[in-house]
Amino acid sequence: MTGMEQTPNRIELIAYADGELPPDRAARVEAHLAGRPGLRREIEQLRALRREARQALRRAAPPAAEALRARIEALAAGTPPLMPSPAAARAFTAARGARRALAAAAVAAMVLLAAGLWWFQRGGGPSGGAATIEVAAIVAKHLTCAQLEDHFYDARFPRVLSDLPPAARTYLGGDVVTPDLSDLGLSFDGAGACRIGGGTTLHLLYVSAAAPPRHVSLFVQPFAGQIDLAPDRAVMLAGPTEAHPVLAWRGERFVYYLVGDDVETTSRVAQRVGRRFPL
Amino acid sequence: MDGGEPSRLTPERFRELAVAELDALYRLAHYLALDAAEADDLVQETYAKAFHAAPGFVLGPRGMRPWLMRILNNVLRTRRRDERRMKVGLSGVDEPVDEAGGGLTPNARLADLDWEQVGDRLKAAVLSLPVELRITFLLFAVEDLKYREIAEVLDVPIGTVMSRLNRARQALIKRLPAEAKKGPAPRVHPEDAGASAG
Repeated sequence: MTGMEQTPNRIELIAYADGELPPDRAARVEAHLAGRPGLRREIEQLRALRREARQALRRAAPPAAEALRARIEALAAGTPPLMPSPAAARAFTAARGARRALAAAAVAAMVLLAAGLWWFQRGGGPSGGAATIEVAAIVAKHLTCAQLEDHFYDARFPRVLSDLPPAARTYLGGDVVTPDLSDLGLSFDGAGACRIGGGTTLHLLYVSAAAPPRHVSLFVQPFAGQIDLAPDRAVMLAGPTEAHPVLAWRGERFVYYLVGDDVETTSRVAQRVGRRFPL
Repeated sequence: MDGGEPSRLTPERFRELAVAELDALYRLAHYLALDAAEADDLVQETYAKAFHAAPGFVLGPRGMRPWLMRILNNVLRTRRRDERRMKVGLSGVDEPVDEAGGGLTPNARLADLDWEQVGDRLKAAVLSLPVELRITFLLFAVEDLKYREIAEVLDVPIGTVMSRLNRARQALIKRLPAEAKKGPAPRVHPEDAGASAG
C-alpha cells in the first residue's frame, strides 16, 4: 500500500462521516483524523447536520390523519378483492393508449350525450379532445376510492348531497354541478378533495343500491387548459370497449370527468347528465 | 448481508408490516408534496400499488420501508411528469463529487452555528431544496437509509446519490446561517406558494 492510498480523499471522508465505510477503511480514516482536529470538527458538523435534520423534521411532521389511516387499513383488510384485477390493470393501459390515440383519431370520440347514443356516436365534432390529463389516473382514482366504501369521506364536505354545493363552491372557487342521481338508483356516497394531473379536484362518488354495487365517479376541476375542449363540448376519453369508460365535458369554468364501473351504468348517467346540463 | 435472508411474507404479515410504515411514508409524502391533500393522495396510491404488488414482494434485510418509498417516489414522479411542471433545476446535479475541494463544509459556515436554535430554520432550508435533492436528503437524514438503499429507492446510481447529497448539504450549509437571522420559518415552499389548495 502506498502513502497516497493511505490518505483518504474527500469522498472517503464524507462517506466516513455518513457511516458508509467498511471497518478497515473507516479505521484508516480515523488514523488520518487523529492529528487533524479541524477536519474531525468538520466531520462532526456534517453528522450534526444530519442528526439535527432528523430530529427537526421528524418532530415537525404531522402523523397520518386518522381518516387516511382508516382508508389504508381498509385497503389492507381487503387486499385481494379490493385490488384492481389484472383485467382492470390492462384496461388502464388500454385507456392510456386510447387517450394517446385521441389526437390521431381527431374528432372520432365526440359524443352526443343528449341523444342517448353517445357510445356509438363518433362523428366529426369540432373539439378535438386532446387531453394532457391521464385517463389512467382518473380511472385509478375512481377505483381506489370506490374500494374504500364507508371509508370514503372528507371532513371538508358534507355527506348529504343537498348540503354539498356551498362546500364545493368554497373548495373550487365557483358553482359546480353536483347531480342527484337517485332516480337512476345511484345514491351519493360522499365527496373528497384530491389532485389529478396536479389539478385541484373534487371527487363525487355514487354507488348503486343493487348488488353487486356499481360505482360512478364525477371529478370536477377548474379548467386550466388540461383538455382541449371548448365550453359546452364533450369527449369520450375511454370508450365502451374499455373496462371503465371515461367521459369528459367542459362548462365555462370547470371540466367534468365521468367514470363508472361498467358501460351500462355509466351510459345511463351520461344520458342523464346530458339531458340535465347544457352540452 | 446486513441482516436476515430475504423472505416471502404471508398476506397477514405483509399487511401488518405495510401499515406499520404509514407514518414514515406520510412524513416523506408530507415533505415532498407540501400539500395535505396531495400527501394523502400520494400515500393512498402508494398503498394501493403496494397491496397490488404484494404477492411478488420479498422482504429484505432492511424491511419494507425502502420498497414502499420507492413506490411513493414512482407515484410522485409519474404525477409530476403528468403535471409537466416538475421544477428540477438540477443541471449538473449528477456531476461527481469534487475531490479537489478544500474543507468538507464550505467556509466552515457551520462552525459558529447554535444547533439548539436551528431546527425550524433547517426545516425551512430543507423544504427550499429542489425536489430531487430534497428527497435524497430526506431519505438519508430523516429516514436513515444507506446510500445503496437510496439508490434503489430513486433508481439512480450510488454516485448520483452521493452527488445529490453533497449538493443538498452544500445548499443547506450555505443557507443555514442566513436563515438563522430571519424571522419565523415560512410555512409554505416558495414553489407551492401559488398553488391553490381549493
